[in-house]
Amino acid sequence: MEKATIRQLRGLNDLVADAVQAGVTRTEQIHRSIARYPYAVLTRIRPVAAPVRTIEFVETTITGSVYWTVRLAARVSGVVVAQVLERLDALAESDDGDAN
Amino acid sequence: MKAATARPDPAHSLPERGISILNGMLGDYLQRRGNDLAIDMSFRHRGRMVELSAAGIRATTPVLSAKLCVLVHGFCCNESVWTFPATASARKNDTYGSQLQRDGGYTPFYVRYNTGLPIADSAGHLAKLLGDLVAAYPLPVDAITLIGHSMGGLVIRGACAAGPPQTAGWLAKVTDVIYIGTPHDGADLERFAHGATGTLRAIPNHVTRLIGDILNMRSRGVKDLRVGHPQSDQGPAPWLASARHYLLMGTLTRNPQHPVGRIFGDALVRVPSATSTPAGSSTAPEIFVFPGVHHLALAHDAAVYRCIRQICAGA
Repeated sequence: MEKATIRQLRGLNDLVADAVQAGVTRTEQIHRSIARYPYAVLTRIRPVAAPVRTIEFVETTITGSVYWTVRLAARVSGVVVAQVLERLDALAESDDGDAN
Repeated sequence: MKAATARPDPAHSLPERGISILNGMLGDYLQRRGNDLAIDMSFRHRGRMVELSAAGIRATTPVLSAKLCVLVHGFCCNESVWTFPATASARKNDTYGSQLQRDGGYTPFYVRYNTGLPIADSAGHLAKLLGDLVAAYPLPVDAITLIGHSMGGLVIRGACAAGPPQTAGWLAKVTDVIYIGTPHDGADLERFAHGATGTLRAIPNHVTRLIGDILNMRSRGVKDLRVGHPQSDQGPAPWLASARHYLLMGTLTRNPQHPVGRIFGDALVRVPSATSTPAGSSTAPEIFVFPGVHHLALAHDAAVYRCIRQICAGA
C-alpha cells in the first residue's frame, strides 16, 4: 500500500472517530432534553413525583452508560485501526528503504 | 517515460475528488485537527506534487518556457476540473494549460489547495507559492498569466493584493489575470445557506437547531463566498493595477437576457456578481459572457478556451 493512501486512511479514521464522538454526544444531549419533558410534567403530580424521579434517574443512568459504551467502542476501534495503519506505514517505509 | 504518460491521472480518482470535496466542506476543521486529509497548497502535475526546485520542476515539466500560466481551481474541486471530457475535438487529458502550452508556448502549473480554508489564508499561501515557483524556476520568468475558476479567482485576487514580502519576485511579472465564473460580489447559494442556518438555529426546536448546527459546520472557505471579494486594508481588494483583467462568465440559458439566465446565472454565480468591479479601481476589466455554459463547464469549454487563447495571444 502506498504511503499517501495510508495517510489518507489515517485521516479518514480520525475523521470518523471525531464524527462518532460529536454525533453521539449531540444525540445524547437531544435525547436527554426531549426525555426531560415528560418527567418534568409527571414530577409536578405529588403522589407519583418520588417514583418518577427514581425512574428518571435509572433511565438517565442506563442511557448515559449506553452512550458512553458507544463512544468507548468507537474510540477503541479507532485506536486499533490507527495501530494497523501505523504498522502498514512502517512496512511501506522499510520497502522504500530497501528500494533505495 | 511511456508508462508515466499512460498512467491514469490520480487527481481524477474518486478518493482524490472525495478528499477535495471534504476539504471544501470541512477543510478548516481538518487543518485545525491536524487531520491527514487536509490538503496543503501545492502545484500538481498528473496528481503528483511538483517539488519546487529546479530539478523537481524539470522532472515533471520537461518543456520549459519563460511564460507561465498558473491555474487555480474552485471550491470543492481539484485540478481535474480543468480536464476536457474526451471528445473528438479535445485530446485526452487536455486542459486550458496543456492547450496554452501547445498553442502559445506557455508552461502550465496547476494549483491544488484546501478550499475550506478562509480565502484570505489561501491567498497568502498562493502568494508564497508563486514566490517559491519563480525563485526555483530554472529559467528567468518573463510573464505570468493567472487563471482562476470560481473561488480560485478570489484566491488569485487576494494573492495579488497580499503585498510584500509575499508578492516580491512574482507580482511584477503578472501580465494577465483571467477570472472564470468568479463570484466577486458573493454567491447567492451561500447567502441562502447563511440565512437558513440563522433561521433554523433561532427556532426553539431540537431538530431544527440540530439541522442548523450541522449546516453551520460548513467551512470558513464556503462562508467567505457570501461576501466574495477578499478584503484588503481599504475594503475590497482592488484589481492588480499593473495587469490586464478579464472576467469570463456563463449563463444557463442560450440567451443571457432570459429571466432564468439573469436569476440563476451559470447555476452558482450570477452575471452581476461575476462582473463586479471594485469602486475606485483604475483598471477596467474586459468582460466575456458564454451563454449556455454552466458553472463547472466553464473550467473546460472549447469556446472559453478560444477566448483565453485570444487573450494570451494579445499579451
